[in-house]
Amino acid sequence: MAAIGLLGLLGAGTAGAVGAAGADDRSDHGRAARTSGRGGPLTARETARAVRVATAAKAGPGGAATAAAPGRDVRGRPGAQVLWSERHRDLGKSGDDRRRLADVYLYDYASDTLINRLVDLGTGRVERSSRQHGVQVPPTAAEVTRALEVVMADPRLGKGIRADYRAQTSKPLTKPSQLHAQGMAFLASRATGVEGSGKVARCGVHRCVQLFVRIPRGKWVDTSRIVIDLSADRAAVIGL
Amino acid sequence: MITTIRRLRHARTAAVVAAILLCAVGLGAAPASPVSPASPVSSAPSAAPTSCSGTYRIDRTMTNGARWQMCWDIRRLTGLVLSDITYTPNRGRPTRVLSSAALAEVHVPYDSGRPRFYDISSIGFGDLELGTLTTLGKRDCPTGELRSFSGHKVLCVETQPREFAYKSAVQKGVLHGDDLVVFSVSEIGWYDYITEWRFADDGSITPREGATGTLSPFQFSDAASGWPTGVGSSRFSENHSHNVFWRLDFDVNGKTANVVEQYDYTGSGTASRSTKLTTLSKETAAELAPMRFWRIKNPTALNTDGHPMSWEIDVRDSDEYRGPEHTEDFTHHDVYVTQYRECEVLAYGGTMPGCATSVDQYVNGEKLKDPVLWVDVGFHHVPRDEDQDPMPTHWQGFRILPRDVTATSQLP
Ligand SMILES: [Cu+2]
Repeated sequence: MAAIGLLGLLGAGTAGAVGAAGADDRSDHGRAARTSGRGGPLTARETARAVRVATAAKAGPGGAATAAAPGRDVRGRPGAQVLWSERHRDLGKSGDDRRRLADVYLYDYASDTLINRLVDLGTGRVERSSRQHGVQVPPTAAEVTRALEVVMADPRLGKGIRADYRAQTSKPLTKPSQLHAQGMAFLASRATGVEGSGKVARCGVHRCVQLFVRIPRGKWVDTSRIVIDLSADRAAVIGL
Repeated sequence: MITTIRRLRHARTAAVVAAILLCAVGLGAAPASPVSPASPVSSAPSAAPTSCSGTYRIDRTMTNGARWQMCWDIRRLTGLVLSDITYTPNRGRPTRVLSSAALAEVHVPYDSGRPRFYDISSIGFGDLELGTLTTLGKRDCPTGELRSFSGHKVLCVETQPREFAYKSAVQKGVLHGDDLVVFSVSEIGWYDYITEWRFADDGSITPREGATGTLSPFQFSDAASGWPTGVGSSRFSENHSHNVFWRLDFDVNGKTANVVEQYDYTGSGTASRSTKLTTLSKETAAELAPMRFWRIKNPTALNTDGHPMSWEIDVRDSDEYRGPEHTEDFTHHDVYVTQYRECEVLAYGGTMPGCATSVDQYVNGEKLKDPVLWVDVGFHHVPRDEDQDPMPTHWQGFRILPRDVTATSQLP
């Protein structure tokens, strides 16, 4: 099996290659959710409402300070990054399911804060709100896309990944959607004792990710030593 | 309130007496066929699941008459969550088993010390956009029914045959059984994980995780921590572990006030073995041992023999991974029993405010009123040539068995 070497170009190690079987089956992503019974996920309309309530965030019960955070998203635009929302259910109390509640997760890149808001979809109120620093949940598709952009914009890494792509497909790589990618939250503690760990020392306080990247119907691209700091818009290669 | 309790107690006493009478009659009568089925006599039978309907409800009556009912949901981190799991034995009445059941972490540390993956808390099993939750097709679920979540077919509900539900020369009987199989698939990096739950027509439940897909195309080491998978002895695929954690919130016969017991059978190098019962009244971290099991019982729900209904946890097959002190204390035990808390959902990497972050820390001396069980089953994966490529599925899991839910076998 031939090596495919984004990192090979950097002289950073062995790169194996594996054929990825199967077509990209996410083509119907984004279709509005349908209601098909009680106890189901949030519908598209509920999701929109939950996010609207959570990001506008009036004062919650008990006067909790939940004023709308100025906030920045992963691209530096105004407003916190919406990570995800899902139906809230206290799994211990299976009986009381009449209320439709939503957990909304936001990340404010301006202050590096994870925000969790519990929204009552019936009343349109924030029932509970929390803000935390130094805590990271998995990245979402928008953040994975941004991480790929950071890699592609990096002088060395961008050149490498474009060369990999062209070698496999004979086509130019111009945008992240040409790649199949997943992401993983990365904390500085995972690089303890690793060469170059200083470059990722802020990960955890900053929101950092690692990527799994493959070329659709093609091979994996070795990104296993790359850490992308989304809070700083920087990619680092360390000795993982 | 007090009157209600008195009335219930009274009803139970009456029912136990009735059961004894039935037994006495049964002794005189031949042939001995089970007289009274599984009806729990002391408390009202728990209702069928009500918190879901339509496509989010699973309700399957097996060939032998047993029935399983439950709700399903997908969470961004833990993926498939089953809830309100109710079992109705053949010729019996419905009894709630679990309030909820789901994965709580899949920890994948490589033998050289890194990388170390936390597939649930750092990646998550339930994202349709990133495809960590896989859209399934007919080929994934050839004889079953695909269920949709947010417009994507992600769950397979299937009935699969199981050989020899029983065979008895004395009863001149043989019965082949059925399992209700419920699964979803999560693509996590180069692995595909199959999250499967099997519900058998004898009441047993088998949660198990299948690891397949491809070996890491980038993780190579040396002879000390890998296996040569390339030509000759130049390329060593790195050994690693898959430590799978499940979270089980039991509600035995529909009540949260459950009691957890550990059973050991002591004696070594002697002819006899004797029962040692340890009742876990406080939160506990426990280890696997030969001839050891746990059970979760509802002391107020009796079968017609007057025995409390319970569910047994059988873990027979784990590599018992133990990670480094301080950073991976959650791997230092195999079974944890904790008092229910809404924010304690993940075995590691929890982010809920006001809550500890890993299961070892959840164990902090609280009294057990509504116990939650956490089971860790490890598989040390030493790659083989045959693992490349595609990698044959490896299954790891454990069993949950009814213990005295019915007074006799309800199979035929
Ligand atoms: Cu493996």
